[in-house]
Amino acid sequence: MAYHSEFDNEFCQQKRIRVICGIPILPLKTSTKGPAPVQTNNDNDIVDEVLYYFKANVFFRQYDLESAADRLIVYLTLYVTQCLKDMGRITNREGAESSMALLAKSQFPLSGDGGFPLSAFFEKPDNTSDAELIRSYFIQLRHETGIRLAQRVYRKGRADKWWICFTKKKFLNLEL
Amino acid sequence: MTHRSRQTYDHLVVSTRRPPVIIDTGTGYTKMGYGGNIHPSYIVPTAIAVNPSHDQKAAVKKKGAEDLDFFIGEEAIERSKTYAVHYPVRHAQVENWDDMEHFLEQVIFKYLHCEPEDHYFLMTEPPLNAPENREYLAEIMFESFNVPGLYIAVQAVLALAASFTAKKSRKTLTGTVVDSGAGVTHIVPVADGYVIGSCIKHIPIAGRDISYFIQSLLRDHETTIPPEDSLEVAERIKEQYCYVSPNIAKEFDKYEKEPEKWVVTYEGLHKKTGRKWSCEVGHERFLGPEVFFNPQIFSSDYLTPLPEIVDTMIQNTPIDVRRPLYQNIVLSGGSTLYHNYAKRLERDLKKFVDARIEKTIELSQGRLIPAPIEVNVVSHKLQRYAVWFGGSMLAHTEEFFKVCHTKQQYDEQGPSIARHNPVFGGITI
Amino acid sequence: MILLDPTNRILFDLIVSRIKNPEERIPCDYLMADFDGVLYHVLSLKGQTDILIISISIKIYDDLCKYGADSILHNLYGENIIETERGYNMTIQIPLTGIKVAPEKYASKFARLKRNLFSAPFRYVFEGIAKGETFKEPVFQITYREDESFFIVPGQGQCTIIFSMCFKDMGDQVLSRVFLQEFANTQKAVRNAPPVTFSPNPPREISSLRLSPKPEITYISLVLFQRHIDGPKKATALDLVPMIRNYLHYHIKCTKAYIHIRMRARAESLLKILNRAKPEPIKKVRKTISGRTFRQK
Repeated sequence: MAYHSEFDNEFCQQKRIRVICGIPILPLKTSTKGPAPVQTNNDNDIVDEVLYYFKANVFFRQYDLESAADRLIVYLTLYVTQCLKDMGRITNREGAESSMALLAKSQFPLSGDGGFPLSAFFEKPDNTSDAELIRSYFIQLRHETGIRLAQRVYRKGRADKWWICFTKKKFLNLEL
Repeated sequence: MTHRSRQTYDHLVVSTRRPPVIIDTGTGYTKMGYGGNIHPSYIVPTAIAVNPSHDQKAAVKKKGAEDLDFFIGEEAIERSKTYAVHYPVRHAQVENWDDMEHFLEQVIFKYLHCEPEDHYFLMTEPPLNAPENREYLAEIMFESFNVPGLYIAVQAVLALAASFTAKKSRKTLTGTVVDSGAGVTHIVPVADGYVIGSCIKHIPIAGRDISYFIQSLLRDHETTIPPEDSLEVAERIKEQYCYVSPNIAKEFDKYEKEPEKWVVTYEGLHKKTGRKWSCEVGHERFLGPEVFFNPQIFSSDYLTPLPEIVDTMIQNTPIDVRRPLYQNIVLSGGSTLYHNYAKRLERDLKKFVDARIEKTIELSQGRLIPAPIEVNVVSHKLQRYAVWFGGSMLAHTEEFFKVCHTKQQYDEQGPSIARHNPVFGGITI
Repeated sequence: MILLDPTNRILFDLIVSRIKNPEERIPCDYLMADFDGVLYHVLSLKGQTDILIISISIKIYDDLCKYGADSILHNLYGENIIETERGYNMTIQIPLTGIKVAPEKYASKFARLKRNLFSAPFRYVFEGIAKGETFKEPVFQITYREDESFFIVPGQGQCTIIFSMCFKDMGDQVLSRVFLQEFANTQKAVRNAPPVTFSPNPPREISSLRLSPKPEITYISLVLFQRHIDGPKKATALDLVPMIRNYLHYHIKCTKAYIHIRMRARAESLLKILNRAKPEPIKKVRKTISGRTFRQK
């Protein structure tokens, strides 16, 4: 069975996480600006979870949403695959990190926009302020994911083949 | 000189004085040898290489002995470039009886080197075998080879008998047999030595699929493996390095943090040039066998994990045998040899069983509290050829000669004597 | 595979693999069979897995020893012979380490144990003929199976070898006659072939033994001249002649298998014809162009 997020609905209720259109605005260990609450301790945040489960989850063709946070797992897993595609061409860490920063800010579709492959998982946002909040949250998520992924892939200087071999794997047979 | 006491059959007829011949033809490998021994004398691939210029099916007048120009087993695979290699057994059933007959010719006269008229034979059949197949086999053995006696055994019951050697075994002929070979995996419930035919389940995932999966995984990150050998290399790697892990995400993490501890180097030789090559084996080690427990990582049409199938199947059996079936789950076949396979199956199965008990308690609001169901998966050292070993032990008993079909019966009544296998009880399937 | 190999393949492979792969030297205790009622007991004891002990049991061991099997064994296996195991006729001990020759050659010597034993009377006679000796006994008879024996009648510069073969099955008897006729006809095809004759009655060379003819038994006699058993040909003759009975039975079985294959192919083609012969189903409901429906009753 595929791996699901620890930050389930109970957790979100306990920590009073804001949930907008089914997307919980979970805290991140980040220094970038955005709607995400800043996490000060060193526990795993949602991005760490995605990276930990990525190699296992990417093999699965079916995925059930057990909680709202699972939506983020799905989206970010697909985003990791997209990052790896880019990294296949880059040989050093600095190049990867800058490429990731660019990719995070680039144009990307969200629920409600055309060309968003996960419309089955996500709800459409009700109003523009919600949509903007979600978009800026996603930019933060993408940025963090890209940077931390680059750190792991280029830990030894060159791109680690044990990550690059996952470029062709399509989680749920979808791609962003 | 110490030697275990040999059973003497002197008081019985001539051919019963000699050790019976045990042949277990599986989809991938055939195990052959003499009864009473622990190990089979040969484990060869069930393959036959025929000379393509001598088309067997053509009803052309033949002058010479062209039909004898064939090889079996390893010798067949070695000649795959010049001869046409056929595999007579697919999904545990014999599909080509001509090839099977030739295969048995060389098994008896070349490998086992014995006169079939002097020995009783024990052959095996898969579960869900058509009665016609038993007739065809009896026809070949009695008419062509003149064997004095033949017993066609169900592989699952033999595997159960073989499990008596395990420490954990309850030495009972009631249990669930999980038989996973190269071609197909069968789950067979057996009660008191009788197979519950209507509940047999088969899973299209077995050794060969795991090899294909490992081959494709290796292709993603290794470039040094010569393409014509890649499947064979995947099989070797599977046999040497694969194991079952309790949690794949954790394993992936282990491999990332301590690669020197987990990643192995495999070395090989180019067949033609003789040059050495090497490749690294990483997450294939635990992802290969994981296919049994999460088939969707490999196959897009088959999605149910093995423990779930076992659980559903046992729930479909008559209610009084369910507990004993959970208590004695026996493994057999080469694809069950992975390290920790038994433990993982036991753990996953317990999850289903415990969830069901909890649901019962919840639905009955605490009035019904069933006794906890014990789940026991038995594994033992002879799993690789458990069926052959069970046959060897069965053939070593006095009763064996009484339950065989004899040539005399065959001559009088014809092949229909083999049609009914008493292990299926009163129901002729 | 046309000729049967006199070497026992299981023993050969066992010895070769244990020499080449030390991890295969596990303790074992196997019982194996061979043609002509021979049994082997293969032992590898715990703690002494570098040695393989093979015992062989042959019903006619004493008869074979009468004709020189003893000396042949001592020549070939002298240093390996150890105390005979109870219930068997001979036991040899084979070290698996410190071997100076190629493993295949070494294993072949021991895998041919049965062949060496069995061919002893033949070798005795062949060597005697080569030296021009006269033999005390006019006929050597050895009953190696329940109803079957072989007889060697030595003469001057030639010897006649007679096998009495028993075919219990009616079909086998018919097939055997066809095969034996082919054997007899080889004289025309192959020059210098040993002449072969067969008959249901005991041939005149062994009439002194007063054997009564039985319906299942056929006698095959072949005459070997000095040119057939000279020099290097002796080894080939010793390989092939004692195995004639097994060779014949093997080919009869292969013929029956071939007949089966032809029968299956025929049955399949007949079934196809039969399937075509089914009448077309009558269409019960038909419609015309204008839409009216006809129903056929």
